[in-house]
Amino acid sequence: MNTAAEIELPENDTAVLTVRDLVVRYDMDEASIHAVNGVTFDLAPRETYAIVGESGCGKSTVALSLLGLTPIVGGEIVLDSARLTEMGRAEMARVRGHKIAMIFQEPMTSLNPVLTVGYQLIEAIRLHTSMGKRAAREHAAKMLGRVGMSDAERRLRQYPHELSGGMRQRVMIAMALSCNPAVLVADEPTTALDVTVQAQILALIDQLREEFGTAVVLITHDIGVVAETANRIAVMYAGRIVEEAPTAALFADPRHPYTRGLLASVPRVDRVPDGQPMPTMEGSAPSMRQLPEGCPFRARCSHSTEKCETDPPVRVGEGRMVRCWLYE
Amino acid sequence: MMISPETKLLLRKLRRNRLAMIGVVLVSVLVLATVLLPWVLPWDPNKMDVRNALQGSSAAHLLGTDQFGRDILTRIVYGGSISLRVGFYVTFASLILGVGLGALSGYVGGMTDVVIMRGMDALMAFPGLLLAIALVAAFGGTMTAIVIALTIVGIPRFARVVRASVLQRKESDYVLAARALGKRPTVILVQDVLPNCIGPILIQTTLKFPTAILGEAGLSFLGLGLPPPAPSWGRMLNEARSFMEVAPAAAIYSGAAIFITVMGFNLLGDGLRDVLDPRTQSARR
Repeated sequence: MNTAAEIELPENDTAVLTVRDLVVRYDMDEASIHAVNGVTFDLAPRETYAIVGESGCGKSTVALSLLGLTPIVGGEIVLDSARLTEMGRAEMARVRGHKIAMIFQEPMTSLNPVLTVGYQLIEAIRLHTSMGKRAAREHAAKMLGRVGMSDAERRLRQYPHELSGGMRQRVMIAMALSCNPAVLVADEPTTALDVTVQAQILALIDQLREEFGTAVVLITHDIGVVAETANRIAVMYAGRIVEEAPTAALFADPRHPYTRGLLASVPRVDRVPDGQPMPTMEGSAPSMRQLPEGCPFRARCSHSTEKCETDPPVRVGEGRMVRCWLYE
Repeated sequence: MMISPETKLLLRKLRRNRLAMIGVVLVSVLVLATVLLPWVLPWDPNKMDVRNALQGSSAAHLLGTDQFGRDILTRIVYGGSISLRVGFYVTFASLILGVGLGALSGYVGGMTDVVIMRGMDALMAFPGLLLAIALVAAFGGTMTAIVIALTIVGIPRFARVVRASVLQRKESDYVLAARALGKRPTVILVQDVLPNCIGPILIQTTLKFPTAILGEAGLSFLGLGLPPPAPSWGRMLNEARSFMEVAPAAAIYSGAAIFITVMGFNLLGDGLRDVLDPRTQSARR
């Protein structure tokens, strides 16, 4: 597999997080799952960088890799000039939740059901600070206020099952931000929530990103979610970023055939076709156990030629990147 | 720790389970009797009075006397304290060791898991009582020996239950979230994994108790328990066998004591399982 050192993104000194040629492989009993096959990107301070893609394209693996929770086999991750990929276990544990934090898809199951919200929040704060119990408790209450939960003192005494999904996600966000991390990784933070709550949570993340000066990596399969909040979007397919562009540019002028297909299959109110089926993409994503040679999208692509049987080149320019033979 | 609303709900469910409540009553009566009756009963459990041997019920001897003229009720009450002590020590020791080994096995995995679980398999390959007999024969008939023997027999089941439960919780979202917060593995095991395994552990604990009591009764019935004249239920049953046709009281009452105790704990354990395991609940509804 070509792990693509070819991507020459403009070297960005100010980047808070740099990911280069990240390769992650899960070794199972009989086969290996090539979940991430050379992902490269930079994250600017205070930026929201969205990674979109369908289920199983490796986007959640990228998210977990940023915290060192996956078997990384290649590439490097640099956070605030610290090389995470070279850190030992104990060192990495001090970074997690402190310099880089994460919120998850399932707020209903991401909190320990037998401990109170307060206990878990205080624990998270005390893991990475020297605060005493009382100070940590005050900080916890303050954090709950900042994520928009009223009556913080009572909330601290409640158990997770006494809170709604949206409330639990707020608690998760409060926990993640309690040590003021440089980067917040949000893995499908709204997928499990009601539509009305989704918008609230997204707005909250955006507001807190501003307040805390945190950069956000937003992982989602819902391209509608990112349209409003992301500065830049990366489209992932079969473990690679196939296109990356500023949000407006991506929506206005999608270049990779996969991105176009993705955008075309989003239902929109302003162009309801009478009695016509919704446009969908033919075929399905290749198995991550055995990726085909060349462009992994070629079997579903209407533009594919024999060129596509070799690895597509990466084209960079105008602040965007696309990995496709069409632009050679 | 405070009683959480979840615990309150479980208690309410338990109260509505009739069989479990019968178990609670039986167990409570038993515990109260062994604690309180020794203060009330006028007899010494080991004092022989051969002239009054093998009597039926009377005002002085409510349940009659045995072949040496000892008061059967008194002996059953004192025997109850032996049974409960053995039950408690064995359950507690197998709980601690079994949870420790099971948690280590499930959480660490790899070779540790293989070594521990094969050890447990080896112990489970022996019929429980047979293993206990061998161990007591080796250690001698003291309380400590009996407890050690029955504990060794009891550990594997705990270890298995806990391992299975830990394996399941280890993959849960809150454990992943805890790792993402930078918690150390040992802290995660203690704070996030084990507290969520409490259900299966509790059930196994209530089911271990009667097994341990039955084990002690079995050993003493076979003459391997505490040496005479200790009033152990198993020994009383065995001694009463020879006089069963003349004076069945001793055999009936000591047998009944074993039966009621074991049933009480089993009903309580089953009730707890029904309450704690959502699958059995839906089946009943």
